[in-house]
Amino acid sequence: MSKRKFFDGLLNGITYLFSSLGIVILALIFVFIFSTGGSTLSFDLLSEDYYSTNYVVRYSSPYEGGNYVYSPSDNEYFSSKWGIALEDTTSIEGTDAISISYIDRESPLIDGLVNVSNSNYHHLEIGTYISTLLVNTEDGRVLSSSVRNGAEKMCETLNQAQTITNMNLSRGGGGIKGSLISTLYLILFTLILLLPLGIAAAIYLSICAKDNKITRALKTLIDMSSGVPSIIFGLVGLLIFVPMLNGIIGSDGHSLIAGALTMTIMLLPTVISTTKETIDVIPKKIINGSLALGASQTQTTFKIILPNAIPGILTSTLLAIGRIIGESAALIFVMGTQIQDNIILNQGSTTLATHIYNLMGLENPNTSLAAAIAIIILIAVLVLNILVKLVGLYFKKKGLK
Amino acid sequence: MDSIFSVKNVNLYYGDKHVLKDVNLEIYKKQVTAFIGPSGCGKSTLLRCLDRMNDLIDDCKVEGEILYKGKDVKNYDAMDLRSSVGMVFQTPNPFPMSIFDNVAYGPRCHGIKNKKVLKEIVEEALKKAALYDEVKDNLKESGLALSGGQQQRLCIARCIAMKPEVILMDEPTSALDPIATLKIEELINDLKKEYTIVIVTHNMQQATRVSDYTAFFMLGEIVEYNKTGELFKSPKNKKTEDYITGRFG
Ligand SMILES: Nc1ncnc2c1ncn2[C@@H]1O[C@H](COP(=O)(O)OP(=O)(O)OP(=O)(O)O)[C@@H](O)[C@H]1O
Ligand SMILES: [Mg+2]
Repeated sequence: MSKRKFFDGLLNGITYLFSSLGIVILALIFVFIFSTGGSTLSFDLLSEDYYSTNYVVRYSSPYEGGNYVYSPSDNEYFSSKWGIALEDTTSIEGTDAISISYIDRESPLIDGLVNVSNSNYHHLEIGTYISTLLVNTEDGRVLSSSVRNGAEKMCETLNQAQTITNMNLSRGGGGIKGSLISTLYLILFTLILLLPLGIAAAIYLSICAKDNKITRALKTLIDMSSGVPSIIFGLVGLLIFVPMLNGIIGSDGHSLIAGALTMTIMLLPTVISTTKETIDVIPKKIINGSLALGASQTQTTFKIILPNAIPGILTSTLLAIGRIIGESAALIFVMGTQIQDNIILNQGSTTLATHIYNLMGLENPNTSLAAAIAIIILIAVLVLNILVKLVGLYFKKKGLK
Repeated sequence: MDSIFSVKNVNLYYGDKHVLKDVNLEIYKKQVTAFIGPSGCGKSTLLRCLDRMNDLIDDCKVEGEILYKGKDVKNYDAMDLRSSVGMVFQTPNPFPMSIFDNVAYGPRCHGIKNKKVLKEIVEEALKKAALYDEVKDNLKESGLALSGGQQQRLCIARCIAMKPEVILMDEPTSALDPIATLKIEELINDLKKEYTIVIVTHNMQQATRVSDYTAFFMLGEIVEYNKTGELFKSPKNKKTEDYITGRFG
């Protein structure tokens, strides 16, 4: 008796240990992601372009120089003549960059620079990057400096300048607006293809198809193919859809439409089997009741079967959205990894997930942005899962037999 | 007496299984015909032949002739045939929608959209099915919220809304309690003024109470077919006598 108790206790202990271990590891992952990406996460992130905007500006009226005061920190270099401080940093794309870390309120550069392309005055803001600088000195020499020479050299060049002939600035960037829109488009176009195909196939299989060997083989095939790794669908997409679409929609290799097609075939088995399951539990007697009243098969399908299959269709839609958001391998093949700000349907782009892939493949991986996107994906998937539960509860309450 | 259905030399197979064997039967207009017999003898199968619900069963093969108003059922459009020959099932099967929509379902499927017309049809059908007084204030409620007996009367109303000539009932009271059963039986007695009714039942008393003609089935054959009174009073066949006196079955 006591021996049995001992083993029971031991087994329980082991169960608790492993399950708590699992929970701790999960918690650590969340803590890591949130601590790395949390500070980067902001509304601006969602609404900003990924690539910065470039400006070419000049300062043509000869400038005598002021005597501005600022105490620069370690890696800052201050030009007391122009009243701005420069700093070596890395850009969002992960490359070396020089950014403006301080501008004196009286500095002539704040509103004195003229945009070369449209001759408007350019308002200079802190955080702007300077990539190249071309100046004239008082004694007529031409000096130049670029990112490669570092902030210190750039600052020296600036100090000797009387006029600025040409300064390349860039601003903004680092946002995920493009990838967000691309993800939404991908979801939209996938669902437009996926739902009619999936629902029609489910109706065919559970209602119309004769119960014979071919039908059964088809059903088994569909059940099995929901377990096929996504990269295989990606390969199929790359080898079949991409060349096919090049001819049809005039894309050149990767495209969002190819992504939608690939996601459609990848998710079709899941949608078919989830929908089929809900159709199969609709009592036969109700379907026969409709037919016995002289309703046609089509009327029965639209008035009886489809309304009763809505829970399954909704659930599979939500699950499909979740998988589209999380998919990466297949999409890298068919949509590429080039981040875009303007989403064009017959061109490649990144979704949130492949955006992360891109960021981590950079020379200097942008971990904090990657983690911020990871948080967005996690929240989206969480919300979808809660919705699935709510849908289940709602229809259970409504008590469709 | 006018017959509305003439079943002539019907043989029916489910795959290799020979289920109906040389069945011959006349079903008379505005009469109640009962099918009785032991389980598995093919009563439901013959009933389903009359409105071609057997079409829905894979590898079901029917041989012989079934004339409905002089024309073989095969030559009817199945949907037209089923609008004219309604069916009530063993377990009540209201659709998961409101009481009104349940009754309006058939007419709507046949293209009636006018709200006023639909309302009249629904009310009339519910009245004929003796359900109107019980549900008139909550026609918008789900048909599933009714009791079993009410659900079965709803299904009868749904059938009546199609203005059929024949109503087929397959053990319509087997899932109901005695009081609900009685109500349905009273209803059948009312309905036979207007409709031809064919009812499958396992209940001998029910057959004597509601039917004018009775067919006794065994192993896919009609053993005896006669006026109900005569069949039960003086069965001509030994098997019939054994069955109705409860000696087997
Ligand atoms: N869909 C079907 N496929 C194959 N065989 C069937 C099918 N339906 C009925 N059968 C068989 O046909 C025979 C007659 O069945 P049927 O349902 O007509 O009997 P029944 O007289 O109505 O019996 P019960 O009184 O139990 O309802 C049975 O042997 C049954 O197994
Ligand atoms: Mg039966």
